[in-house]
Amino acid sequence: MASSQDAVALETTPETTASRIVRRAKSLALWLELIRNLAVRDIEVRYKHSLLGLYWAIMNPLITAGIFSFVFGVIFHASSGSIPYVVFLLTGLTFWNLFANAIISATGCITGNASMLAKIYFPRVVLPTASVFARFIDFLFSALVLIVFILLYHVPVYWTALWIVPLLGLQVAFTLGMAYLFASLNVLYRDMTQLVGLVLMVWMYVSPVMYAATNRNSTLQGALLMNPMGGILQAERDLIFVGHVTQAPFLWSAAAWAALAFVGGLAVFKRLEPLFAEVM
Amino acid sequence: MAAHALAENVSKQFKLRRDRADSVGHLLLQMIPRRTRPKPESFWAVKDVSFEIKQGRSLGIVGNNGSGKSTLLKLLTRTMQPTEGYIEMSGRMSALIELGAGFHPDFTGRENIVLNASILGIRRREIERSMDEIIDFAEIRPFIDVPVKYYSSGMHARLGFSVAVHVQPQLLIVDEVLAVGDEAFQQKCMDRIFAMKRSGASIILVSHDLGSIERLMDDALWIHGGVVRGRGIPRDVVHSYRGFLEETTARDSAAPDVKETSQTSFRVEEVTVQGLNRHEQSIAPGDPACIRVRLKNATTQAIHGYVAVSIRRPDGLEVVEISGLRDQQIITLTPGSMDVEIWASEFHLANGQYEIDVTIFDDQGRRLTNAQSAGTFRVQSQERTSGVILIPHEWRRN
Repeated sequence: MASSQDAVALETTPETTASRIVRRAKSLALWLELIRNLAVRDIEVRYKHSLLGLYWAIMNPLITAGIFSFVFGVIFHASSGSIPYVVFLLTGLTFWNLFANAIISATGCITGNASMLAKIYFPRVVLPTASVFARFIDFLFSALVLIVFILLYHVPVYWTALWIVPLLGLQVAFTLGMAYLFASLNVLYRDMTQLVGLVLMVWMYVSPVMYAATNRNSTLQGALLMNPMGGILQAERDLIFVGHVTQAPFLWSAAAWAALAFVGGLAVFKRLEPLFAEVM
Repeated sequence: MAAHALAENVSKQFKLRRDRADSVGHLLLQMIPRRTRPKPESFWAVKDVSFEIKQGRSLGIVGNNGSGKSTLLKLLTRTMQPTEGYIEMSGRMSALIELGAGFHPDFTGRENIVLNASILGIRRREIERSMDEIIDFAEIRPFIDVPVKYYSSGMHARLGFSVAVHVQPQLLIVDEVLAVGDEAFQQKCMDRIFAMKRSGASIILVSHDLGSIERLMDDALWIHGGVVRGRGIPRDVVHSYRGFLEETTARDSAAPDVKETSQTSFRVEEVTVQGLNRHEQSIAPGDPACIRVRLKNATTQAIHGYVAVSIRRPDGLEVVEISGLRDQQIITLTPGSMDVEIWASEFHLANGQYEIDVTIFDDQGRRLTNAQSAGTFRVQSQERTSGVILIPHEWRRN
């Protein structure tokens, strides 16, 4: 009984570690729900007016894969080893699009919600996070298309493909970091969107999306794979079609990049956050 | 009892950086070293403001446009960080600043309620329990499943208000949002706000409606040029703010096109109220009475104009206004003093002290002078009366 009296007495003193953790956990749960609601809103807004619902999420990679496989597979005879070039390319594009689309929609998410930001307080970091998760939902639909293609072409797939899940976690962490960075910088420099579009285009061509990074001279291969997205894409493809990670060291470097990007991006975002209301 | 909101020496500085890089290209240009770089000008939008609001209390904030009220609100709602000082708050806060901010036009009312509540920090399960109440309060039941973009601005604001008050805030910050909706809904909003206050919520109201600040708030704060110019009982604060406003208006109206300074040219010298009993300044309820206003025209020429008389309770509540402008009773103010009399056959006011304000307008409806509390009178009777007015009535039993 003495303990309950102690608890009453404690209420007036500064909160205990335990109660602080509980409070933190509660507000975290709240913000997670907000992220979910915002992501769902994002998805719904995107597809509410299109007749076939989610069909843009599926059409986009299909058309891109079609045109690229014509240009690179038929015209330039790109080699993709044992698997058909269309499947090879679609795999790369599906994972790359998750990254690129997330960055693009996160970049404009703070400026696009200016009216809401000026009136209501909530942790601003929720917005780019929700953008990234909305694009992740898109990704799940385009992954279905990829699976259909793999089945159509009778491409053998390995059980290691299940390791894609933790690898996606790594990719999302890297994406979030970059999303925080660009979203906050875009508030200060409004033409960041243009720059991001340009950077992503160059980035895609120097990443093994449309070609394999392996079978090049070792310097070039190393350079391509040191690029965090290169290492991640290579590993993702390997896990599905090869059955083991062929370039393990570069996966570690990608993990380091992801950690760095996440922490750094979040730090920049937190640093610039107080300026948002003033600049907008 | 613990404070619900505490602001201590809060200041906010803005930098007027006209050359701030707002694009990547601009940023690159700025990297070219230059010898002269204009120093950013800065100004303090809010300077050294402190206040405390205890649980269940209300604070009214008044001030001119550009005095820093909005910045202060932004600091309170945490959308901006103070440059100096700190703000402490406990409990859930809800701001009625821009109603329905964050509504998405393509979503239905119902979807927006959930989303808006989740931005305000309420779980879906929790908000779904009060869903019906929110819809009924906003009076938009037939349209709740229609996208918000088809709403009228009134419906939009009503829904916004309804969500904001149904999240059970312990601190309610109200900007002049209540200028939306029809009068009935405004009244409903005010009732709701004060019901919340009675159940222990604290309120901050920013308004240009000095009357409601005077009548409804427990404390008042007058901000001018970012600093606190007055604080305390609303009646006193509003009184000094009104005085300040009149001074500035008088200074402004001393513009060349107005003949001389009307403030001194036209004066209200005396206001008397006489009832049946010949006892000046005191009447009985229901008696006929005469309000006599003695005006002075200190100029040399006669002008045409109107007189308006307003009867107030000492707490600021305006009971009745008798306006010559509205009744189209033009009078001629000849040089010198003259009396204007207003005869009322029955004066149904409840017991108490009343004050009379007099305003003189010229024939164009421009205000020449305004005399606050130019006269006072009492309504006295043996019977106990409460409220403001008495209504002649009879009882019937059928």
